[in-house]
Amino acid sequence: MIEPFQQPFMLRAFAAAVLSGITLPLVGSFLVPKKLSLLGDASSHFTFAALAVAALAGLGFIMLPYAIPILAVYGILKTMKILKLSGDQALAIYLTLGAATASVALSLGARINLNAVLFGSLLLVQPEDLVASLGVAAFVVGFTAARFGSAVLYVVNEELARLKGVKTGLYELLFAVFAGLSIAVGVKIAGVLLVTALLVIPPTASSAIATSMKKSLALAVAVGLSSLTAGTYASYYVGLAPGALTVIILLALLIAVAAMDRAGLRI
Amino acid sequence: MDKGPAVELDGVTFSYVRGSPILRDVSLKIERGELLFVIGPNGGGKSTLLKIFVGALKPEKGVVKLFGVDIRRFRDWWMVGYLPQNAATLFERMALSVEELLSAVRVKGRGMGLEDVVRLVGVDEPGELLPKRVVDLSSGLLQKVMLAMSLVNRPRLLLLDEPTVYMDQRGVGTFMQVLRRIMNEWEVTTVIATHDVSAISTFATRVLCINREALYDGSIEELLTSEQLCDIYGFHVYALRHGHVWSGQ
Repeated sequence: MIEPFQQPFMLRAFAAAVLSGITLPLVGSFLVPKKLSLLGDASSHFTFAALAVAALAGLGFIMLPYAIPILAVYGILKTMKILKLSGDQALAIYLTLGAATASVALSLGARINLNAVLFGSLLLVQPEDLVASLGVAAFVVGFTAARFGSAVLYVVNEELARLKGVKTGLYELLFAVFAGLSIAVGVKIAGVLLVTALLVIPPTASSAIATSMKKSLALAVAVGLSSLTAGTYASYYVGLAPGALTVIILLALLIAVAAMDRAGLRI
Repeated sequence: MDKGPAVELDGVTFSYVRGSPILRDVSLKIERGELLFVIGPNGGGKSTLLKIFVGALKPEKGVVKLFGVDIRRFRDWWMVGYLPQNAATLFERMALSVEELLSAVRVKGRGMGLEDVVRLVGVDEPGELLPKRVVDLSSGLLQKVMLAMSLVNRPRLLLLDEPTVYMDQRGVGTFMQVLRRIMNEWEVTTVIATHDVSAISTFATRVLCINREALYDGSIEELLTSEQLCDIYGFHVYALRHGHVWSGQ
């Protein structure tokens, strides 16, 4: 049972799973009601592009895969406002732009482990990723606790948020940084294609049966944390991608919650 | 803070798309304690006008003052209560409770008790309503909660964007009674934007008709007997007046 924990790479993968399991569902709980469910997919494709371009150019530094999704999220939010696009239109544009850039870089000879990048891997997590994800998790949890009301108003209606003194421009930027960084970290363990599941499925499940937003946040974190750590653990034994295993567990939990919802059970 | 009308607009122009203003050269004054209805077709600029009042949109030309203070320097935003349009769609996919919503809007140290404000808008059992989720409320109850939300900080200026949408005539009557009572007790200036002329015709005193420009500003009686409604809406107006179905012609 404890064998996986004797491997340094597994310890790193677990730590990343715990931190991403907290951060992604928490960020997702604000993204989903803001109707930006696919934001994770769009910006993770930018991470994909960044990894491919960095590999092509032979850049060893790690900043690019962190900076790019932040820019992508901020770009998506700004594009929606400036061109008056709906969330799904802007997300589709950014998603395909990221994928196309990655495709060009791969065609030109960028060498990356596609399977690991697209579906997550136990081996990708580096110590610096853990430092970044610890920072993001601390910020997101601290911010949500300290500014819960303002964050809720920002999601519900920006005019109401302004009247409460919320600087909506600053919140937009913070939102982009939190979402972008948590996605950049989450991609390593869950993969470009599957990281969105951790943003979307936990809040979708929890908001169906929770009787308040606070309970919904706690439940989303519980769902995300348990499924990602279980998926990572199982991945060590069965040799399947951790992202894929996590999504299967998440879907099982979602079905269980849907059954609870139909039975009228509330938490 | 004690000088000037509640709202003052002077030559305000605003465009979402460059060169095609949704509001053109709008000037108006809303005195303190006044009840103003803003009517006009969808897309005519009613919501835009209210969003300019809350400072969310900045006019490209003209001056906006709240309580005599230029809106760019206005800081006492607790004085403004706002009920946004399409309340039902704001809370989708969110398990937010009524209590959490009202607490989020309430300014600490200034706002009313949550049970008090819910009772104020005509809910008899606040203890039952507060823990409920906003998404689970009936449309009538949701509008009451939204009104409570706009009142929780005891505002001096109340901006209501389509507050009676989805309500039947009786619901509108009850809603207006509650609003009248609050206006009398608090001396709050109220602006109601609506496209539903028939719903308000028995309550309105001053009406502002807006379709990109301020086309009419005056009493409802004069408006209903004039041809201006047709100009504003085209030929699809059926206003209820003194209990009769009445079409502007």
